[in-house]
Amino acid sequence: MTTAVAPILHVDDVTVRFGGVTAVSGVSLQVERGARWAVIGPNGAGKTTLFKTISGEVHPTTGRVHLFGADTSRSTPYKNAQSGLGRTYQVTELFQALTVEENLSIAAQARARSRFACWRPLRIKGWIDERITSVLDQLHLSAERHTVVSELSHGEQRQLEIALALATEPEILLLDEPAAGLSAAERRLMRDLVEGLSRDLTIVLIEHDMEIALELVDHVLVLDNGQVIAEGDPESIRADDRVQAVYLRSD
Amino acid sequence: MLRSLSLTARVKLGLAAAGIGLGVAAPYIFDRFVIGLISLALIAGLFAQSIDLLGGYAGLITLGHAGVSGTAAYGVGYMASKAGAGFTAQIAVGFLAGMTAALIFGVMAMRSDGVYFIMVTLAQGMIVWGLSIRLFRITGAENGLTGIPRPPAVELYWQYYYLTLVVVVLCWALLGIVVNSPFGTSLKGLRESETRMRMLGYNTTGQKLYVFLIAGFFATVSGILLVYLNGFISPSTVILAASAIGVLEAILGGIGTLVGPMIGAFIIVFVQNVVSIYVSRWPTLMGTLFIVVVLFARRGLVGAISDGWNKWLHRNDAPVSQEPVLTSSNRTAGP
Repeated sequence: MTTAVAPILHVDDVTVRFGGVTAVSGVSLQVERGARWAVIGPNGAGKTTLFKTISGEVHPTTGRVHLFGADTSRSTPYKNAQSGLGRTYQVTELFQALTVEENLSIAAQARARSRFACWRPLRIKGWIDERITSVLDQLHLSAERHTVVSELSHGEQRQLEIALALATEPEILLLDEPAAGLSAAERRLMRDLVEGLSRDLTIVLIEHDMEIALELVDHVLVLDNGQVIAEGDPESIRADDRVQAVYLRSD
Repeated sequence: MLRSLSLTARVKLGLAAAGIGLGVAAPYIFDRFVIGLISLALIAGLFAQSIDLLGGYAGLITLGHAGVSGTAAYGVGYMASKAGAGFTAQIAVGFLAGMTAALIFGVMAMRSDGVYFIMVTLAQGMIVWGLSIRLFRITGAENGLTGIPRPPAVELYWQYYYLTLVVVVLCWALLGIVVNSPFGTSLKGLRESETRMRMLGYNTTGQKLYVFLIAGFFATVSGILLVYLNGFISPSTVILAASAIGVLEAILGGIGTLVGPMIGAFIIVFVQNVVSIYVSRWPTLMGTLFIVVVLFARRGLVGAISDGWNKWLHRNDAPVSQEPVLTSSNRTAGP
């Protein structure tokens, strides 16, 4: 006898409207633990709005979002993050005036009770140091540990964007165009970095570069004008006429 | 042990020791008038530090902080001049009043940020000022509350000066612990990107309330010290200008540091009370000083001195790696 395992993320017929504009219309998806998904589509397709709905930054007008089996349709970003959701941003959202280490120490302690401690100095040692070192090694940023973020290159900032999310030890990671604004060489590096992430980590990826997206994932959802126009494995998406018509021609 | 410290650390340690030494010796060097001004500057410095905890560290500029310190001062004043209570009750009510104001202000302001936070806190300060004018039976309206004696043990000016010095140094040390703590570090994240903090798992609304209460505690202490120093409390203590001057002191000295607001407070208190004796247009002088600092020393006097010191170190070929160069990363560190 087998027991059904609840998907780590279940978006159920979600519609998001902003006034008279429907950004996402009746989108559903079920992401199993450890799976790698890509959400692709042309500009304005509703990809980022879908991410915001999953993370709690935007609440669905209709439909439900379930994270880790719990209904999080009306939840807040920080509660979702506390339960194990990590998210990166298309436009870099880092603590620019702080060092890489300070950025990661803030992220590392985000889910620990010690984040409230105001009666003792922050000691970057023990588990915080181990986690920072591990994430920096993983993202090839160890040499920049004490560099101020504003002094990093754009590519390094994109890497740190992922490092910050990883430092919270999420169970599911939403990557919003991690290769945005990168050169061809940097995009290859970014693809390798994402590919090298632990298979225990569930990843949902938005990527404008369809080739990178299709290489990294085992399931693809294609949006256009807020609606799902195709869903399936990368090969079937590559061969789908509707996707080629709507997405590839617009590229 | 000293040899293991960098030159910069040794200079900082030396300046701190000299400052404390001068502070202890001050009553033997200066007359009553100057000691009164130093006491006032220390209290103003603590008030500006509490503003800087919000503005410089958490990025929450407040224009209503005098409402918190003033409420504490009115609490003491009422118990002393109207209720005839003892000193313990006076101070207890002062703390209760100040912290209650901080809690109410914090709850009202914690969901806003940026310019909206400034507007909400400005309105809060104006409400306290309005109440201080309206509630005649409690506040004495424009006349204020007078005849507030100091506790007998610190009745003389030099005794009260030493009490002020000890309390301010203690609060400074506590603030130093707070800004370097895990919570203090997260405040810098709040200042840099609230969106990111929320997505990392921080309840930023709760963070704002928490830091508002901590800042409110130190503002309350400054309010209680001030009312006993002056022996009276009036609406002029809670007007918008009182909060604005606290912000200016922090900016002048160096926002995002603890020593900066104290230096700013000393400069402003002495310009207001000493330079004004000789120069009738002293506000013009003060305004010029602010413009010069904002234009040429964006990180305040502490930032400018720190930059100059680092340049001097480089010029003398000091090994850069051994000296903690002040960069945008550590400019927000404590004293």
